Amino acid sequence: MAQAIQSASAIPRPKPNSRWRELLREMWKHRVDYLFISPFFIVFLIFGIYPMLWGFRLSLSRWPGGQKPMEWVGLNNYIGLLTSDPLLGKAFVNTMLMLGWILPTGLAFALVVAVMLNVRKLKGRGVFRTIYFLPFVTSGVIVAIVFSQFLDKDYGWVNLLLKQIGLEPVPWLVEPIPAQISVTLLLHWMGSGTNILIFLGALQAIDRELYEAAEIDGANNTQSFFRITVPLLRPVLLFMIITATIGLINLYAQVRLLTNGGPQNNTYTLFMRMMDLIAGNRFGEGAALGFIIGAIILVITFIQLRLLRNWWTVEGKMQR
Amino acid sequence: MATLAPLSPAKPGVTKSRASVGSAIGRVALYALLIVLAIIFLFPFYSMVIGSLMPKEELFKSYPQLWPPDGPQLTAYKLLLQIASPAEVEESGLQNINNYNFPRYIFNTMLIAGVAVGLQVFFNTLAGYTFAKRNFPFKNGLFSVIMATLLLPTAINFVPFYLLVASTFGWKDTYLPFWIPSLATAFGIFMMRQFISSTIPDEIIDSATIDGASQFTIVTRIVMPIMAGGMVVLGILTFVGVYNEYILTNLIISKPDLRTVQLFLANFKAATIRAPLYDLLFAGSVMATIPLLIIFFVFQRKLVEGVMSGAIKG
Repeated sequence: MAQAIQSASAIPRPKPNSRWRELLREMWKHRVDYLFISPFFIVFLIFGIYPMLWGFRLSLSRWPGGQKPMEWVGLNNYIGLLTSDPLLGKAFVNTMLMLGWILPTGLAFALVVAVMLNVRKLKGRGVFRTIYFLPFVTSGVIVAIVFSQFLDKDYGWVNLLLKQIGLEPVPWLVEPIPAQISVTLLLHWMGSGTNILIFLGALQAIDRELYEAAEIDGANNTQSFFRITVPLLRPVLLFMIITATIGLINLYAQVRLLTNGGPQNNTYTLFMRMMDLIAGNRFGEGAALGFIIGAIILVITFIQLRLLRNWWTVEGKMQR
Repeated sequence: MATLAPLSPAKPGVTKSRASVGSAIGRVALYALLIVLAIIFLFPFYSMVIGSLMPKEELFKSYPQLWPPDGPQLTAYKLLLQIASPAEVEESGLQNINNYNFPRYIFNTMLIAGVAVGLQVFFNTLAGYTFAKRNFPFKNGLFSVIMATLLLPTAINFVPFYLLVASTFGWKDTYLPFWIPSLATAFGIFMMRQFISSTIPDEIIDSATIDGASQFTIVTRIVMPIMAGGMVVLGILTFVGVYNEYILTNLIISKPDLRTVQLFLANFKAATIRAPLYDLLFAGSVMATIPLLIIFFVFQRKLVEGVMSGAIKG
C-alpha cells in the first residue's frame, strides 16, 4: 500500500495544460449527457437570458415597437414610474396588502387542514384530499367567472348566506376592502388544495416515533405540534412562502376578470400595470417595471428569509 | 367502531374510558369540520354546473337557486355548440352567437396543451435521467443553475420576452410561444430527476450499459417505461397549466379561429361586464373544465401522491 502511494506521488504532476486537456476529454466522453440536458440551456439562453439583457437596454429607452427607432432616455423610465406613475404606487400597496393577508392565513389554513387530514385512522382521507385539491383544475378565468356571480352583491350566494343568518349583505366587489377580501377568498379557494397536499406530504414524512417519544416524555398535543411538527416543516414553509410570493406578484387573470382592478384601483396589481403598459405600447417603461418588480421580489424574499431565520434562532434558543 | 378510534392511541389501562369519550367527540367534530370544508370546496363547482342549466332570468332573481325551478335546461350548451334551433337563438337575443366556434376553441386549447405535454415530458425526462443517473464534469453546477432559474420571477423579462416572441420571431397568432420556450423546464427536470433517482436502481442502467445499449436507448426503452407514472404526473401538471394559460394567450392570439377556450371565456366575460351572460359563461366553463376533470379523476391517486411527494424530497 505504502509503496503504491509513494510511486503514485513520484509521477510528475500533470501540467495545467494537460489537466485542461483531460477535462476536455472527459467532457467529450460525456457529450451525449450534455446533449440530453442541452434543451433547457438552449431555450433558457434564447428566451430567458437574452430577453433579460436586451430588456435592460430597452428599459433605458423609449420605444413604441415596430420599425421605429429606440430612443435612449437613461433612467427616465425608472424615475417616471417610481415618482409620477399614477397607478404603480397603488398597485404596490395593493399587492403588499394582499400578500400580508394571504401568506399567513393561507399557510395557517393549509397547515391546520393538513394536520386534521393526518390524524391517524382517519376514514375517507383520500376523498377529502381529492376534494380539497379539486380547484386545482380550474383556470383563473373560470374561477373569476364563478366568483363574480358567487360574490355578486344582489344575486350572489355569499350574501344570501349572510342574509339567512341575519347579517347585513356585504357589497363584495363594490367597496375597496371587501373587494380585496374577495380576491383573497378566491385565491384561498383556488390554491389551498395544493398547499394542503404539500403540507400533508411533509407531515407524513415525519417519523411517528418522534411523537410517541414526546408523549412518553409527557408532552401534550399542542407542545408536540409547536416543538416537533412546525420545526420539521421549516424547509417546506420556506419553499411555500417564496413560491407564494412570486405567484402573487404575477397575479393577473383573476383580478382582471373579477374586479378589473377596481373599485377605485383598490385591487389593481403590479402585473396588471405591466400588461397595461404593453397594451399602450410603452415597452421601455414595461421593461423597466419588470426590473422594478424583480427588485421588489428580491427585497421581500430577503426580508422573509431574515425574519424566518430570526424566528428559527429564537425558537431554537427557547427549546434549549 | 373504527370511527370511534381515539385520536392518539389510548394507553392500556390508564383512564381509558374517559379518554375515548373525549376523543370520540373530537372525532365527530373533526369529521364535521372536514365535511363542511369539503362542501365549501365543492360548492363553487355546484353553482357553476347548476347555473349553466338555468335560464338567464333565474340567475338574476333576488336570490340564487339551488335547483332550476323549471327543471334543467340545456339551452346555453346548445347555443355554444351551435346546435340551438333558430327560435332558441332568437329568444336568447344573441344573433351573433354563431360567430363563435366553441368546439374549435376547445380543440385549439387541447392541441396547444397536448403538444406542450409531449415536448416537455420527453425533454424533461431526458434531462432528469441524465442528472439522476449520470456523472459528468460540472453536473452539480449545471443543476444548481437550473434550480436557481426557478427563483427568477417571470415578470423580470416578460416585456422583452413578449417582444422577442411576437415581433422578432414573428410568432404572433401561432402556438409556438407555448411550445418552444418551455421545451424543457426547471420544474420538470427537477421533478423527473427526483422520480428517477428514487425509483430506478442503478443496476438496471449499468447492465444495459454493459450490454452496449446507447444512452438514448436506455432512456426510451428502459427509463421511460418504468417512469410512466412519474411522466403522467408531470404530463398532467403541464397539461393543466398550459390548458388554463391566459396571460400569454391574451397577448399572442388575436385571430378568432385560433382562440383558446380561456381567451374566449375571458373576452366574453369582459364584453358583458355590465350584465354578464352567466348561463353561457357557466356552460362554457363547465365544458372547458370537463376534460380536466376527467383526467383528474382517472389519475387522481397518482397526481395527489406526486404533488405530496414533491415536498418531502424537495
